[in-house]
Amino acid sequence: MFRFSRALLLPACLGLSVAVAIAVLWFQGVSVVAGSAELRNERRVADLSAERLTARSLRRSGISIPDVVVTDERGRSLRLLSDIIRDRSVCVNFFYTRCDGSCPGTTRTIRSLRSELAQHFRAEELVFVSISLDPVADTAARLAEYRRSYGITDAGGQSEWIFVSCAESDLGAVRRGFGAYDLDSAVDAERNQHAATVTFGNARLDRWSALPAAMDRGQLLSAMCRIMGNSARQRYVSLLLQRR
Amino acid sequence: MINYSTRRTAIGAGVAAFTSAVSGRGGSGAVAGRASDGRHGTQLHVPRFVQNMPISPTKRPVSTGNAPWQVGDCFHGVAPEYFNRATAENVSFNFPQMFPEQYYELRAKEFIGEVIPGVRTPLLGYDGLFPGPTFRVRSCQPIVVRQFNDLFDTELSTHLHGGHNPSHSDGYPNFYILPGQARDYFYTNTLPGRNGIADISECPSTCWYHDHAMDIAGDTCAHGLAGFYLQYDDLELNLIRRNILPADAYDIPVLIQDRRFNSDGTIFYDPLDHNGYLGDVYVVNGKAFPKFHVQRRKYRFRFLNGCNARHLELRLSSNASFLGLGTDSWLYPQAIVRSTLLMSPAKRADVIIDFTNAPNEVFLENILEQSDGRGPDGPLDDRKVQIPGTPVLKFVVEGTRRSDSATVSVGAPLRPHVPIRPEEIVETRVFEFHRRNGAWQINQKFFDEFRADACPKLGTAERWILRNGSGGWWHPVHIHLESHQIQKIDGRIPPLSERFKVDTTMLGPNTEAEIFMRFRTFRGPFVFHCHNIEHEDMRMMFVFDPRTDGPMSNQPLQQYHP
Ligand SMILES: [Cu+2]
Repeated sequence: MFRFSRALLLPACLGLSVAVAIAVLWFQGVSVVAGSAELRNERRVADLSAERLTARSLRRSGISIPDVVVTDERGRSLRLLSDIIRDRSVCVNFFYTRCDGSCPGTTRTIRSLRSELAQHFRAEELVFVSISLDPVADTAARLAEYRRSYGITDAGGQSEWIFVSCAESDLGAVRRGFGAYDLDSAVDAERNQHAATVTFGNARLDRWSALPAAMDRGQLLSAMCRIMGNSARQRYVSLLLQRR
Repeated sequence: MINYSTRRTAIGAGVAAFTSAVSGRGGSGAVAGRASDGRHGTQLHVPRFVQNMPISPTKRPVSTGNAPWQVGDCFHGVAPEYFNRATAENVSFNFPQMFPEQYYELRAKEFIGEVIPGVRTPLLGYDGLFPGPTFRVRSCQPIVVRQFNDLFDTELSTHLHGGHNPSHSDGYPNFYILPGQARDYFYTNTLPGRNGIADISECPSTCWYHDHAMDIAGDTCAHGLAGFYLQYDDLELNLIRRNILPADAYDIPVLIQDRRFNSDGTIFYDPLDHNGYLGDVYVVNGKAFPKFHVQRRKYRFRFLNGCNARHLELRLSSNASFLGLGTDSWLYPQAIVRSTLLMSPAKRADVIIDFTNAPNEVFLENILEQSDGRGPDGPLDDRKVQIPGTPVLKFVVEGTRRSDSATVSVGAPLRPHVPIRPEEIVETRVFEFHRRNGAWQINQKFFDEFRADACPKLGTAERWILRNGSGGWWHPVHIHLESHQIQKIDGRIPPLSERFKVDTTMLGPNTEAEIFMRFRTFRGPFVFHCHNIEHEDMRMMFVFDPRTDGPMSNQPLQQYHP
């Protein structure tokens, strides 16, 4: 009430019509019920179905991730789509082992997202793929060493995390497929200006997005669940229970 | 009837595109082809100017005065200022209200449309229509729209673009309608107050509604979730009654979009291409390259650039000028001559075309050259155009001159304009847009859905500097809640058509705009963002949250209704 009176003293507010004044007063009251919105969302969570979504829209995404052969940190030759991603949810980032720019931070972010996502996804529902931008230097041995140096293990029901290098001639198509390139050729050629984004999606439901790795991690996690989830519960629990 | 495809659930469509020769989807009328061949341009034959341009039906309320259901009682329990006060038994809208409130129901659905003759295209549409039905509402007549999300695969959030509405009904990107659920949107159709009276200079005419769901609006909008929302007050109704402005069959909303199609009839859209989506087929009111039969009289067209990333500069092949009535939602103080209509995504041009002495065929063409999603070729004030341009829509002019044509002409008074005076400004804020490691930032920060970047004080005005620091990129910056007034673009007064009220400011490469804006009636949060929807989906977005105490920056949100 008092705050509203003060607002009235300002020239632009002077003599607002009674009706508008009532409206503003009304909004003053809103904060009182803020707590009930959180309770309401907890009730809504209970109603979210855990059933695996199967229906597919007739529209489709036009993604173009090439099914090229890549080499992983164990020296295996695998096809990017048919062997690694398959019909799973996937989180992809681009990096190179010698990067001293954004990569270390991105790798650490994904490491913690992976452990948090283990609470929402069964291990076999999800796969993480880190793709090298420096495929000649990043041999299987170097990829394995990099993985080890970040203490990445498969413990605790976490999903697979595969580090790969593709043929150098395929790198352009792979980057374009995931949207990790820059139309400005000077920026694109500069390896340390490379995209510090994570691309994630659900290959089975054909739903995709990409966001900066350095954004707020709770909000990134919420978006990843929403885009990658296989059920309403997986998708929206984080959204509804997220606290500011 | 949607035939939910099950035979391809084992593998994503995009995945399938590279692993097998895919048989066509979308039913018997679909053309078999590779899933994503639209990437290289539409391969289908697209006949030009044979289909008639349809006009979306006017949306009818379910009831007036009496709520057909308990308002706010759908799953979300939305609209706190409404929810606490209004029930079906006791409706009390404490907003300036002159007419009984109306109740609507709107359903977002998937359906098969025919954008190209003989080709079946899976679309998303409000009420199963593309474009969605046209709302025609009166100022000071509040409406509640119960919006159902009948899509099983995606959440939605509807934004009423160019309107003045409460935060929970404004389409904040994660205030969702979850799949299979509904949400009550409360459109007050109120006007902000100024000096004790309703500010009729702010009454919007040509708003539109479209999906604004976080991260995925590029896909949902590309597939059709957009429609018009036209608002009328006494001033505009009088212009119509006195036959100054054309009415009814001579007042035509026109949604212009560019799309690319795969050979099987589906729309090509790559959600992982974040530069900006460009199409090679112009789709006008849901039909590819249509024609429209007109009489020899004046018509009012509400052109809307509904493209995701393509800017348009429209021109008439007859060399005739347009008579400009308004930009974005608002009428000008007086009608002006416009030789071309430069429109970024989301912008509207409210114009008269006078066909009285026109040749029998007139094409509406786009003369602006744009090679990629970044924006038109060249800078804002020296952009590359080509005349003649690409024909978008054909007018077939018929009959003899009509004596009852509307009378509006250059200089005709329309809606009063109240410039925001420099003395009213209580705060200056600078927002600089950049690209960094493949992502967008504003003032070196990523979007945060819980951080109110700017908290203006309700009832005051601010100066915002919008600075585009990103190489060759264009960013049409859209600010929710109210109009803003462009003062300067790169230190110069903007062209006449952008000099009054707008809701979207076009920023060319390395452009700086100075705008004044008032913040009235509703507490936030609201967003402002780039309306290149691919940039928006990469969260090139910021939050402003008007409140009674302020001005402030970087505060927690006042309310949150996901
Ligand atoms: Cu942009």
